[in-house]
Amino acid sequence: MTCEDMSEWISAYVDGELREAERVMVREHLHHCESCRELAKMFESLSARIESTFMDLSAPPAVEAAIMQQLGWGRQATQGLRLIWVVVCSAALMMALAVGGGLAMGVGGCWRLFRILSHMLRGANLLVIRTVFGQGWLGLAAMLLGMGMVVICVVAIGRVLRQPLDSRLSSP
Amino acid sequence: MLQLDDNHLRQIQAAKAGNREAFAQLVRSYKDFVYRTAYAILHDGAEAEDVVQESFVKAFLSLRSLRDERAFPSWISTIATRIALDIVKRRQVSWAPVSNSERLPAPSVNSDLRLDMEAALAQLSPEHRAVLVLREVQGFDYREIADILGIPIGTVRSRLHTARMQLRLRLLPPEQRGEPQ
Repeated sequence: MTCEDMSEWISAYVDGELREAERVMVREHLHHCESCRELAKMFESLSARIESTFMDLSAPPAVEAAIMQQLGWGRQATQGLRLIWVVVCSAALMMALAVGGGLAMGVGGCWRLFRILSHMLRGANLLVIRTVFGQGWLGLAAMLLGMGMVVICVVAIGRVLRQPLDSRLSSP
Repeated sequence: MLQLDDNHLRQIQAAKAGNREAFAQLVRSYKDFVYRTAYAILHDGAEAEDVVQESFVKAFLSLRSLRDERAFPSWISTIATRIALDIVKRRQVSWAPVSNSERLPAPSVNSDLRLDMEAALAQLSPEHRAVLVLREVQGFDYREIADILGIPIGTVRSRLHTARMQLRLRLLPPEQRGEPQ
């Protein structure tokens, strides 16, 4: 086999990609042929040079954020999601206030109505009704319900606003 | 080549299960690896960046099809290499070296040697450049390169040899090449 024919084998030999018999054959040839030994050294130094040329290259820092953006996990998307949560929680808060206020007003109105009726129907036994409504339990329950919903909504909004943007990436 | 440790394996498994944070970690770990492949093939920083983005988006969308997590480095390299080679074909890129103003700022200390090598590589055909990059920059063996490029091992061997011989010639001073200076 001529040195020219041997060249491709030497390239694979440098890469450690020959079978044992082939490796022995190339090693024998290199032992006797100085020009092929030089070629083998050249292949090795070329490999080292190519590696050192590119190994210190790194991707621009913005690429990571760009990938997240393309996948819809970017900062803008997260801000949009956060805004939706704030809107939903705010709507729930308004609803809670409206329900609480409405119930309180309704119960208060009912109580006044019953008092008027009890004056008008003097003598009628309204003790049970007066006992139930006279304590203002329903008003109290409505107020507690409203306050509970307000607290839940305020806590939820607080959590949404406090949560760091990056942690949202972990949620599937 | 970037070593695949247990931590990476766990991240790949978690990312396959849909964990976004795990996938973000994988991007962090492999973006330079993918970028180097793309840059060495395309010789253009902006295009290489596009390849990195497209590769990871494709990877996330098809991650469930990756059966062996240990094959992730060659799998992501396959995606990136094919995208880069597609760009070469699609855009009919002229492989003459681009001007310095178009280059990504080179972080290398020895920038002259680096630019010489980039210019010499740029004169190889995309197929020869790809095989050389996968071997010398990413450290894949012949079997892996054959799988990534979808070519026989014998072709990998002959392309590598041809690429090295051409590169050697390109790196010689013009007077030794027999070309006008």
